[in-house]
Amino acid sequence: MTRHFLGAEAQARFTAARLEAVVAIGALAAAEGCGFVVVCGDVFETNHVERQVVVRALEALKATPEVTFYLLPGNHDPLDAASVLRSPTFVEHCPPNVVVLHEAGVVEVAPGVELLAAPWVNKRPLTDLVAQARAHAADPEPGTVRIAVGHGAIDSLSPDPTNPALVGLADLEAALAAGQLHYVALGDRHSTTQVGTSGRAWYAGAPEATDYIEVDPGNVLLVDVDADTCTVEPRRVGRWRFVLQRVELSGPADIEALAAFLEALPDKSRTIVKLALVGQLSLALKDELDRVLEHHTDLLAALEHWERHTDLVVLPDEGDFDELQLSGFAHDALDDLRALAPGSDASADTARDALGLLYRLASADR
Amino acid sequence: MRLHRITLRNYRGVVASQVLLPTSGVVIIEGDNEIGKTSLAEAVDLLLTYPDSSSHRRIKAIQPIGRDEGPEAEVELSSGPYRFVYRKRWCRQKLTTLDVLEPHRAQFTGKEAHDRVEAMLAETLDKPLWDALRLEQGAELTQAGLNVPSLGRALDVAAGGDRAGDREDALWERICAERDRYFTPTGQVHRDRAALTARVEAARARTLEAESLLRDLDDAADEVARLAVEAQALEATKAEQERSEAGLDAQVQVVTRRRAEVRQLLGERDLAAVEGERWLGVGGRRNDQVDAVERARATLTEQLARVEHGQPARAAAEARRTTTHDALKRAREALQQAEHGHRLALDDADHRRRQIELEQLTERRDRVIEAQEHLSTAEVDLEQARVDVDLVARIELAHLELAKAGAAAVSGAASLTAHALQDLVLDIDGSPVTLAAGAAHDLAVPGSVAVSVPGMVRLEVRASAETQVLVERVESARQHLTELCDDGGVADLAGARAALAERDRAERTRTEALAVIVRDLRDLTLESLTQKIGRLTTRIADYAAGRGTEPPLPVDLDEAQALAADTELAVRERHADLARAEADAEQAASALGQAAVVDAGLTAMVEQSRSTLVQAEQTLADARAELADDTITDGIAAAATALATAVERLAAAEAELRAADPDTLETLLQNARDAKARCVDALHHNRDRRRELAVKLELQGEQGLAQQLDDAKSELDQLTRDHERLEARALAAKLLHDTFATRRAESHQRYIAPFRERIEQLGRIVFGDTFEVALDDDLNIATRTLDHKTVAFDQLSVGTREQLGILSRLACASIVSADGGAPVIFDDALGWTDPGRLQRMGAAIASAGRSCQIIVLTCTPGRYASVGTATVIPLGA
Repeated sequence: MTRHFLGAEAQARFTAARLEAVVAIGALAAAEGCGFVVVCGDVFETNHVERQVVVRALEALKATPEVTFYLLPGNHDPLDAASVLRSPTFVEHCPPNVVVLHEAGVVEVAPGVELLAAPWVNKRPLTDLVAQARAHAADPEPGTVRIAVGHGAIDSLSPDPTNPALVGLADLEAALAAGQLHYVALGDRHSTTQVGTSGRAWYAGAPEATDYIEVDPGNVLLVDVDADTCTVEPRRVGRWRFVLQRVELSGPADIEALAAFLEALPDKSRTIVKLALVGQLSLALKDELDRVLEHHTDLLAALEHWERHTDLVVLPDEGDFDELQLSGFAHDALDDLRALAPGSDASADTARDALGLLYRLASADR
Repeated sequence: MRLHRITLRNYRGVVASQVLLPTSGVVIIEGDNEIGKTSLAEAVDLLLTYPDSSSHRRIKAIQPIGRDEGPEAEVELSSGPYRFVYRKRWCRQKLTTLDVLEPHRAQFTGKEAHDRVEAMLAETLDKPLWDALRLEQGAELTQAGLNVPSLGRALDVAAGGDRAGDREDALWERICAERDRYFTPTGQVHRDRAALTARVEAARARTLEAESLLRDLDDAADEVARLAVEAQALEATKAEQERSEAGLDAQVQVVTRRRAEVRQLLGERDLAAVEGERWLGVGGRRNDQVDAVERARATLTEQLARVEHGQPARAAAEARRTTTHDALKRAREALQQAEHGHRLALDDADHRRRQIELEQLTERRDRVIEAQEHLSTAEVDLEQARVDVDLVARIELAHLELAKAGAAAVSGAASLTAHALQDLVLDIDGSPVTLAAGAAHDLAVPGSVAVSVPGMVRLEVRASAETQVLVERVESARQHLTELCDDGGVADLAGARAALAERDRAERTRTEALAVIVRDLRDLTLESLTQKIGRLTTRIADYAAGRGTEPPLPVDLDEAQALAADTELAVRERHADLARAEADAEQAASALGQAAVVDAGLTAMVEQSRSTLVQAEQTLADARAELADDTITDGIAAAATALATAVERLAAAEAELRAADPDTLETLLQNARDAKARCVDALHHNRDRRRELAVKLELQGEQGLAQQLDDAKSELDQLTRDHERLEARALAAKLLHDTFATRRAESHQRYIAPFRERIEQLGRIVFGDTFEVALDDDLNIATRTLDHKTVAFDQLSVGTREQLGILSRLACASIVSADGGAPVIFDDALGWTDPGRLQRMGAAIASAGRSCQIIVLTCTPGRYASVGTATVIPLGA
């Protein structure tokens, strides 16, 4: 999972965290005495991952052989002709405790426990795969706990109602109410999310954060379910954070506040921060801001600037150049640049940059 | 600084020298070479530069030669508030003394004095200016390097004071250096920027390529899925097609059987038709046979009638033929007769013609023979003739000579006249001469002559010796004449003339004879002509003998030709008659022939018809004997019935077959087979393609293309941002540089304006009012413009460059003099300046001298005569 804003060192740690999460899941499952783990899709970011990723993932899964992992193909790793879950490498190195749910239908995972699998067999299904799987499956035997394992957007949360692959919540809740299903494990959303009101349908979310827009990533769900009860407990396994922050800057205090905010971030080496800077600063304050940001760039895993939402204007004020005491043609040139600086067009931006450069060059001999 | 006095002692070749200098204006120190002019300026420089302990080569160089003395220099100068007398001696008895006269008296010696002077000068003298304003003898004509602090301060003051200083200059250098990080000196993109741009493009290309490869894989996976669905559809289609093929095949089998049935019925129908045709044919033939008999009978009857009808016409044609045949015969006889008569007329004409020809030929022959005789005679005569024109001429000349000699002899000779008193006969040299009584006979006596009267007297008369000579001449002439006559075979001149006339006659005769021979023989010889005459004679005689008497022979050729013409006309008329008779006869014969043909044809036809009738009756009888008419009629009816039945059955079978639409069925069946084959091919292709894609996915699926794309995108993103930042920095650096450059240039122009104007002011005195200069950053003259033509300083002549160098020094000195400045010293300068310009340079120097001290050293008195206000100090030996 490559993120362009990460340097090589941070990227390596970010990548390693994915596998560590898998190991942590297995360890958690073993520690809690879980019968099995279901991974509801997008086991791999894409079907076209390199071999190293596959074997390392399988190795991580193999770390807890007493825990069986059921892997459902999702939209990023559908079970099509290019499926990584059917690649020779995967097949060859797949440990016994890893099972791929490659067919839609019922799979008995333990006496009295079934999984109703709805795998993605291509990138663009044209129907609700969970409902389809349910339609082709007979009702569970009395006393059998049936867990639906699906992937995709739920219709109650999707902004695109025309998507034919939406999973129908009403149908699921009806099935839950009717005892045809006892739990619905869904994948696709990266944030841990309960759907509906039954308390038995959940998105576990991504075990590690992957983006700024995720609300509550980094969890797995510890589910204890039978026909009568169902308890769902989110457990944190992820260690990385994405932080999006909008910052108003108009004076030194704002810069100090920003510095304090950044300073207060825990586990900075696993934190990725994106800042939207808005406001106006003098050259001197901009210089100060740059120093603050430069410092925290070295502490954080990454410090991005949200270009689209950044609107920070650097305008020199009287004080910026007074202490430089430029005279003669240099002072005249300074006045020329300051006259060009106001404005929002590209030439004004260049004039402001030129002033910043002049400030730096003129300050070099102080 | 101003110099008041310079004193030298034991300085190079100068034992002692002192010069008092005015502190302003121009002072011209004149002196011969090696008098110590240059030493004056040098000494001041050494005094201010080197301590008395110095052993610098410049100090060593000023030691006097041949004297063990230390070189010594003393100068009284003022600089700023200070005025002092400064003295040093080097090498021997070194000393340094300083006597400060102003502002406060003080005296110093040694190093302290040296240090004190350095301190005072550091405080008050712009050393670079002092160095720049001295133009030493023999120095390289470079520009003065007047970018000195004092000039700068003066220009600053002139420019208003707010000039950038060293800090700004240093900032400017940093700005230039910053700009040079992004742009080349010519304003092109720096290679580092270009390299980053190239890296961005390369990263973009790699990203696009990775996307393409990934998309390719996704497409392959999609295609595999699609092919799988397609394969299922193809299998279903194939099954359906197989069922369809089987159904159609069964139908086609049924149709095939029906076709066979139809073919069989067709055969039966055809057989019935053939049988019917056969009976019909038999019946037809029977009918034909009956008809043939009837026709033959009718034809015979008709032909017999025609024969009878044609008899009278035949007889008439025969009669006409006989008549025309007789007429033809007569016409031929008449023609033959006319032709005979015509031939005879022609022969008679030929006979008469031959007779005439014989006469002509005979006459020709006779003429030829005669001419030959004449020719022969003439040739003989010519052969014998010994006299020609030339001989006759000589004979005539000899005769004349004889006559002359004779006359001379006679005139010189004695003469004798004999008068006859009676008739008598004189004997003169034996020649009797008869004289009648009273006649006289003169006689010349060229030699001697004996005259006698027979029986009476004899006289011998002798000529004198002279006469003898004359006589001998006569004799000689006579002898010559005689010889010539003998050559010609004549007795005398008359004889020669006669012989010549004979010769001429013979010539003419020969010529004429030859002409006659040629004319009459023509291309014949005499023999052939004679033979021809003989043949003609024989022929004429033969014709006359064989012709007969009737009709009588024409009298002459004219009559014979007229008769021939008449007979020819008669022949033509007889030909015409014959042609008419032949036409008539032919026509009659043709008519008769046609009639005979018709008659013969009719006869043949009758015979043939009769024969045909007999044959037809026999054929009919035979056929009826074999097969009765009734039998044929019955057979025809039966065959018709059988045919109708077969046709009816066939029609029914064909209707059934049409209803089955066999063509369509066959087309459908073939199409079904083709479709199935195509489906099978598609299935194979589908399978092969899926296999191919599976291999591709297997091979490329684990190459980590997604990671590669992510990496490429990350790199592209990073490089793009870097590039944008770099470009933004480049633009900022350029804007900063350009803004500074503009303002700096403006400032520089304002700053150097007074200096430039002062140089131009002095320069206009020398070069004219179009003189302009441009200065560079170091205040050197970059270009000179004169008459609107701008030339770089380095491109100017040596003299002009020296002049401009002096003018810039003078300008500088005049500007800085208000602040103290330094004296301008030039030593033996303007050596390359022409007299006119030298004069103007003098004016310029004088003009500058109004505001500063100018010291001019020269070995050429008068060189600076044009410096109007100068003080001249001559240095003596």
